[in-house]
Amino acid sequence: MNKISKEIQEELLQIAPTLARLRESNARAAFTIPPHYSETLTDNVLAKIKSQPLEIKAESSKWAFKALHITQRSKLMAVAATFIIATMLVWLVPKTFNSFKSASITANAPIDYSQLNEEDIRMLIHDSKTELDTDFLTDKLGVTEKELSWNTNENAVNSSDDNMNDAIDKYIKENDTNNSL
Amino acid sequence: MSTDKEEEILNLLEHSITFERGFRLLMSTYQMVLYRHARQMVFDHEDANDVIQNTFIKVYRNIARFEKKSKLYTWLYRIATNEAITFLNAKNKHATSQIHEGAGALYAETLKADVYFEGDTLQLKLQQAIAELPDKQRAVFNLRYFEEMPYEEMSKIMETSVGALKASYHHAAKKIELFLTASDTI
Repeated sequence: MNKISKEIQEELLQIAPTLARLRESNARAAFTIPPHYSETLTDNVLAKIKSQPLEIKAESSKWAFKALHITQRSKLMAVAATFIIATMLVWLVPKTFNSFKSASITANAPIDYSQLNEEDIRMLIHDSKTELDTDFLTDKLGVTEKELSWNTNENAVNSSDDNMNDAIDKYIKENDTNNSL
Repeated sequence: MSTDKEEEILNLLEHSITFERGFRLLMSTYQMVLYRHARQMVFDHEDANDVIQNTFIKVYRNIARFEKKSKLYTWLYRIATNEAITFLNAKNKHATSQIHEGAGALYAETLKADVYFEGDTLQLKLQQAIAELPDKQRAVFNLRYFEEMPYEEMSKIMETSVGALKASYHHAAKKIELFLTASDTI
């Protein structure tokens, strides 16, 4: 028994005497090696190495991400997320700003009524009917209180719209007649 | 392993013209000790063969990075131990029940049918107790008990302090002792 073996045996006697006795009688593992295994192992390994280089290179990028430590992966993900958000902002902000700008220009621009034809005026009055003065509707267009119910009653909108259109037609015709006179 | 042999292997590996000869010499010198270590870790011959082949493939590809700060065999043991632990982790992911208690009993049944195991009842009990140990503790126990390695060498292989290794080995030995005495085989 060499020095290290003796040292291990003494150490084991202190902590696990049964195991120490077992070791004294047979310290070797009871495994056997298949015949000719050691003769073929070197050739098998070298054959595997020569057949694998491309496979390993192709897989290397896939494993590179896995090989990164969890904190490195988190950082990488954070950088990617920041980049995506920044790209979206760069793309979206000018678009939103432009559409807001054009919308405000359209909304605030004064309407040149002299350029409007009959259909345009009809559409303009129709689209703005919720903003029209009730007095104007009743006095100038002759719309009755009942016909004004579209303001509150959703079901009456269609029939009120027809009446509104008739009233608008009538108003335009009268104005045309007055203007021509 | 003699330092002269290590020197000869490393010299051959330094030149491309003698590289393959050096690698063959390295394999013939260390394959059986590393195989035995891998077999003690993963138990089954086929699994040990996979571990050993992967170990030598890594050695082949990374030998240029070996800085000679430690002995060659220490470096080889470290690669083989890491390969075995990686292999066991991957295997345990597929069969989660085996990493918990009862792994030893299951393993003992497999071992009885293994044609490459020729131990008696005591050896079978010992292997069963070793199989119950956590992977790293098993590596520590095997290196000390079977490979008769000094703690300083083990420390370089396992990259753990000598104190931690002593504690781990003592803990493992006590667990095995308890298993052997409780089973009334001895």
